Amino acid sequence: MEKIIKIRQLPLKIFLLIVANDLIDTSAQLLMKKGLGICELNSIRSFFDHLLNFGNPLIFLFWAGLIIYLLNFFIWMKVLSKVDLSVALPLASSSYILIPIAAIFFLHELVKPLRWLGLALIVLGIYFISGSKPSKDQGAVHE
Amino acid sequence: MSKIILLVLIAEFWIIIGQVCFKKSADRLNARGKGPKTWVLHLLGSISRTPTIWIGAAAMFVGMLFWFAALSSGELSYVYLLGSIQYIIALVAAHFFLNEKINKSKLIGTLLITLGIILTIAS
Repeated sequence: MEKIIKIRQLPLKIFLLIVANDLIDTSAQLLMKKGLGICELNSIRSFFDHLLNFGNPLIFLFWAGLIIYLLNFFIWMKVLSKVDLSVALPLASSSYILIPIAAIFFLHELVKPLRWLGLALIVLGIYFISGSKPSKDQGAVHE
Repeated sequence: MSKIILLVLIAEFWIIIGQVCFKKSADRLNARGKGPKTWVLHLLGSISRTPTIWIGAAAMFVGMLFWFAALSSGELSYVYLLGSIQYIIALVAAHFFLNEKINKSKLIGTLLITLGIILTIAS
C-alpha cells in the first residue's frame, strides 16, 4: 500500500490539488479577461458575435481560458470528494500568500508590515485548518 | 445596510449554495465507489445524471451576477474585503447542509484566514 504523505490531517496531494486549482482558476480568468478585451455590451446578440468573431486572434485566448476554467472543475470535484467543504474552501486562500510571496521574490516588490502580518495570519490559519479532523472518513476506501 | 454590502452578501450566499451542491455531488460520486483512475470518465458520465451539479452551477451563476454587480458599484478592494466573509458563511452552511463539524481548529483557522485576508487587502 502506498504511503500517504500528510500535512497534519491533510493529505499533501489534496493540498497541492487545491493550490493548483486556485492558480489555474486565476490564470484562466486572466486569459478570458485578456481575450475579451474591450467589447461594448449593446445586446446579447452583439456579445455573442464578438465571442464568435474568430477573425480577431485575441478571442482564441478567451476560449482557451474558458476551456481551462471548465476543466479545472474536475480538479475541484476531486478535492471535494476527499475533504470537507469547510476545509477545502479556506485552504484555497493559500494563493493569497503564494502570489505576494512570488511577487516579493521575482518582482522584488516591497511589502508593508501590515501585509506581512496579514500573510502570517493566513499561514497560521492554514496550519490550524489542516489540523482539523475530517467529519467523515471521506474516500478512504479508494486510496 | 449599504447597497454594496447587501449585494456581496447575496452573491456569497448563492456561491456557497453552489459549493454545497458540488460537495453533495462529489459525495454521491464517492458513494458509488469508483477507483481513482476512472474518476474523470465517471464524473463526465455522471454530470448528466447528477442534478445537484446543475443546480450548483446555476446557483454559482446567479452568485457571479450579484458579485459582478457588487464589483461594478464599489471599489475593487472594498468589495473583496467584504467578500472575505465567505469563509465564515461556508463554515456555517457546511455545518447545516452537509453535517460538517465545526471544531476548534476549523473555527480558529477560518477566523485567522478571514482576518489575514482583511489585513492583506486593507494594507
